[in-house]
Amino acid sequence: MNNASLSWRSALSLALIAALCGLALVWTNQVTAPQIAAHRQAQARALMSSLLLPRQQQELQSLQQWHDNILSACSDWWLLRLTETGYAGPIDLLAYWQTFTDNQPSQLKLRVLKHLETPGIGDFIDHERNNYLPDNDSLTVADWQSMDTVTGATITHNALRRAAQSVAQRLDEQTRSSFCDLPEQRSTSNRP
Amino acid sequence: MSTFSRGVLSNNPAWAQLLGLCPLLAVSNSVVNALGLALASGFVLIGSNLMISLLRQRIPDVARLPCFVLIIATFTTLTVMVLEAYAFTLYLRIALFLQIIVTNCMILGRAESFASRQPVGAAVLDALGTALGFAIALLLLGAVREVLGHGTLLREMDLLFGDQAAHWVVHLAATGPLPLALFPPGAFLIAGLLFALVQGALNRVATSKKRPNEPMNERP
Repeated sequence: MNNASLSWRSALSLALIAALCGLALVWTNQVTAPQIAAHRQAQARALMSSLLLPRQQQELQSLQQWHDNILSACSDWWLLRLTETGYAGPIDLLAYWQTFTDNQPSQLKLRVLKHLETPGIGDFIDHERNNYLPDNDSLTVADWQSMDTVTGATITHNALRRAAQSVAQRLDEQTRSSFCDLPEQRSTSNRP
Repeated sequence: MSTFSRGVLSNNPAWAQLLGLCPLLAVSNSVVNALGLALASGFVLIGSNLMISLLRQRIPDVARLPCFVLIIATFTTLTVMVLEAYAFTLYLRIALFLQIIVTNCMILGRAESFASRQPVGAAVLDALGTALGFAIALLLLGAVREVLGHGTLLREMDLLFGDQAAHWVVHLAATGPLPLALFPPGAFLIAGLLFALVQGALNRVATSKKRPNEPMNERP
């Protein structure tokens, strides 16, 4: 009986501590969430602009809404948000995809928005610390599939390869066409 | 008062106990990074010591470690959210090492060996001393690495203190005389040398206090 009452008391104490911690987190989250969202949006916007050509940056000004993680003025460029699994968790990426009319293969630029990869070993995917991704801005999806893996960071590098493959699949001709046929896209579309 | 000073000097978490070295070595490549981590670790340490001491009669002995980790994780998450909201650029630099404050054995060690057995006043004093000791070690290491690696002191303080702090930077050389200082091997070497120096100085002071009339060096 004593043991039972002791375990009830313990459970109650644990519940009280968990509730206190939960309340503190919920309250702080409510206070900080708008500020954090604004920072993240500004960061993503700056990153998007850095990927686009000056002409494309002007087209970006008129766009507000992502649709199914795709943003485009339906001209020759596409932005896609995607997530791949790395060594230590999800890697959030932003992909820039430029199409050409003369049968030239599409060009792909990748940037990492958020990751949890091992510091030092996984730094090469962080464009703020390493030029690896900016240096590969002129690659196509086929180039990404055939290039050498980064030694010591195979899983992280494979995530980038999968991302490149995924961009090509998700932005195939049919998807691009149906995206541009959406009513909200038709109003802002720069498609000829 | 001895509870406070023990954490700062003789029982310093960095140079005496060698605890929390992973974030200490990784983040201390500049004073601003070191200060950011010192403030974050200090807040988590003081907050968790206070909370654990307040709740020590309520925390069941069999579940004390999960309770400590829950409380420390809560304070760490609060710190991460506040830093992400109000010092976003600094947060991006040291985010990973902020999140692993949860597993920092310095904080869990103080919770288990001190805060869970002592009244609130003593627990907070102990946390203040330990936090200050950790901050001194971090700032010392950050300052030396920044001077050797970049040739500057107090660079990019605006990340923490706003635009007016951008002018606080002191240029000591055009480039850093030892760029290795900015990398992990340099961090290990400098930390080892600094901690040996500090520990040696503390030992000398302790020896001279014990034997004030005896000469320091008895060799001919």
